[in-house]
Amino acid sequence: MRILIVEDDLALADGLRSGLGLHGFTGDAVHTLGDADLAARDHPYEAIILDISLPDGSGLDLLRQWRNSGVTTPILLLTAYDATRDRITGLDAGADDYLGKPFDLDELLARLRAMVRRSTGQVTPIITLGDLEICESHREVRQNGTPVALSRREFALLHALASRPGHVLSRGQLEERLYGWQEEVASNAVEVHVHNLRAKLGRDVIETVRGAGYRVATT
Amino acid sequence: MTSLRARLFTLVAVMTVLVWTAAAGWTYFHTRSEVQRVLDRRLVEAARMVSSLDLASANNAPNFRRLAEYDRQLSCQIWSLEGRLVGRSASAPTTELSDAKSGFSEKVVEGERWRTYSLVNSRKGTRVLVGDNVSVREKLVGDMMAGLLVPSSVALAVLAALLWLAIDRGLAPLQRLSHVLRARGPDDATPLDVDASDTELRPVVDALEGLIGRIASLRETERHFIASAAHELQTPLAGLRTHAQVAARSQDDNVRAASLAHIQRSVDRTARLVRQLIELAREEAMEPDAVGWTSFGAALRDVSEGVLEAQGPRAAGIASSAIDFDVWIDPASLAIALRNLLENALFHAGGEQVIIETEERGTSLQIAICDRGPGIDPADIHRMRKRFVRGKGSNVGSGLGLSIVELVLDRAGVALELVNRKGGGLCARMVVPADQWRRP
Repeated sequence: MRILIVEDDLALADGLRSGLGLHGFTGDAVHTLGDADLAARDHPYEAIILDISLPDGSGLDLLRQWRNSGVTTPILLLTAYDATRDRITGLDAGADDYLGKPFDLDELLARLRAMVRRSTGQVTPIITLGDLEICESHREVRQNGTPVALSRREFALLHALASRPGHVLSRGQLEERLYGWQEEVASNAVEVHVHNLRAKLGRDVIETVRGAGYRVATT
Repeated sequence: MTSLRARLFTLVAVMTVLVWTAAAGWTYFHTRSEVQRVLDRRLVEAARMVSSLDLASANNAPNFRRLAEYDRQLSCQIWSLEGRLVGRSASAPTTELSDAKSGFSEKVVEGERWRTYSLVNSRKGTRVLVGDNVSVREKLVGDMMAGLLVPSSVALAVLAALLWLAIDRGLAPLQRLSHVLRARGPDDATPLDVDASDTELRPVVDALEGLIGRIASLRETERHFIASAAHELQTPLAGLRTHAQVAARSQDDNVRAASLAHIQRSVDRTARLVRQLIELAREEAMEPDAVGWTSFGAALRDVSEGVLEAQGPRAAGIASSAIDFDVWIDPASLAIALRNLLENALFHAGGEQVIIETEERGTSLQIAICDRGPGIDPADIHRMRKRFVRGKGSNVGSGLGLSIVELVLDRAGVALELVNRKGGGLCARMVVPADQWRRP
């Protein structure tokens, strides 16, 4: 899952990026509203973590602007303004969730997962696909009840496809979800991950749609 | 606590009684002299009348007995010029009422005081004495005064009651004001709901409303300050916590080392923020107590050493020309201002030395601390002095440094100017007025 972090405190932004990385997310950090707007229009993020007080204005203004222009990406406000009134204002401005600083990294991650789950219309944290069970909170995959060890990227790729069964994702879209800006992406990275997944879970798990991309079988 | 009403009432009551007493005294003496005059006139007329009666000579004494009941108040004696009592009225004593030959006189006769008019009729050879008993006269005046005093005293009592009520009514707006004030909460900044059209009360209400407004804005500033301070602390704390969690969990040594380095930097930054918050709060609450001639060179040396040491080997260094003058300022204030300015300059030094220059500008002295950093966007140059305002793209400062500098310098009478430096960077100039600096 690729997450945009909008936070002007360099140390916190960096900490978030590392923390998300440890748990299988890919985070991009920006420090101003202007950069945030550019980044959000450029990449399909699964979720955005937004600070309110930024050097070039209020995150709430950007949030309203995004919502008015039809941006539906789940957004979590992460801010030091943590009075009930602030939370109400933030949620009413179009945020999906609100977390006050300082926060617990695990709680933040759980909230991000819940937000993304809701945005894809999924209600349980476990996705079941045939004989596969994908548990996003523990980043665990079981096949017929037996755990299968997957790398961080492999899990992220499987999760991206399994979140919308039957939906085709192109190689470019998958790359965008798996890799942050600073990361070098080998040209065949996605193919390698797909190949590994098929080796571990069986050939039929991921279907190649010629000229379009990949999808998981719906049955 | 004294009551305004009681004091007002006492004052008015005392004044009234004083005026009343004076008026009564005046009335008494005036009435008395008027009564004396009228009665004296009567004596004269009675004496003339008796003298002109055709009682003829001193030899026809027996005929005078008829005069007896002329008036109970009046006593009449007729003496022959040789000193024989020729006749007298019934109430008159037998002793001569006056020793005076003629005119008015007073004399005590048989224990009573008499005022007598003597009239000599040399043709008839008689001397007529007509006298009033003085005690009777006094009683007459006394009765008249008593007749006046009783209704006056009753009137005085009624007046007192009316005065009390009138003062009560007169002070009613004051009482309403105190009720309104007592019922207000500490955060209530709305205008006082008092109908104060009186010219005496209006200034009080205006002054109170002004005061309430100032207190409200002070509280608002304070609230904003506390909220901002809390906000400023939350973010570095969140960063610390996140990095601590990352460092605890990561298996990757590089990630862990990076997080620990972040933690170290964040702790430094947070410590500086806390120090600045305390400085600001303390400087705001207290007046400088040791204002005097302070050696600028020595202060600069001390502060530079401390700042450079705190910044470690990464620090860019400070260069200054020979500085040899004293400034009239509290040494602690000067140190605070210098430290914050030097820290700012070193943060933004861009790897080049921070330069301190002094220059006489007219009669005032200008001390500039200049860096080769990014400078300040001209649009931001005034905003930057506000609390918690950071320059665009600056993530290192707390936004408090310049506020603190401005606070202490402003109180010391030293101006602070921020100007972008030619060739890039910023100069923070302290302008010391003529009477506040000297060469030793």
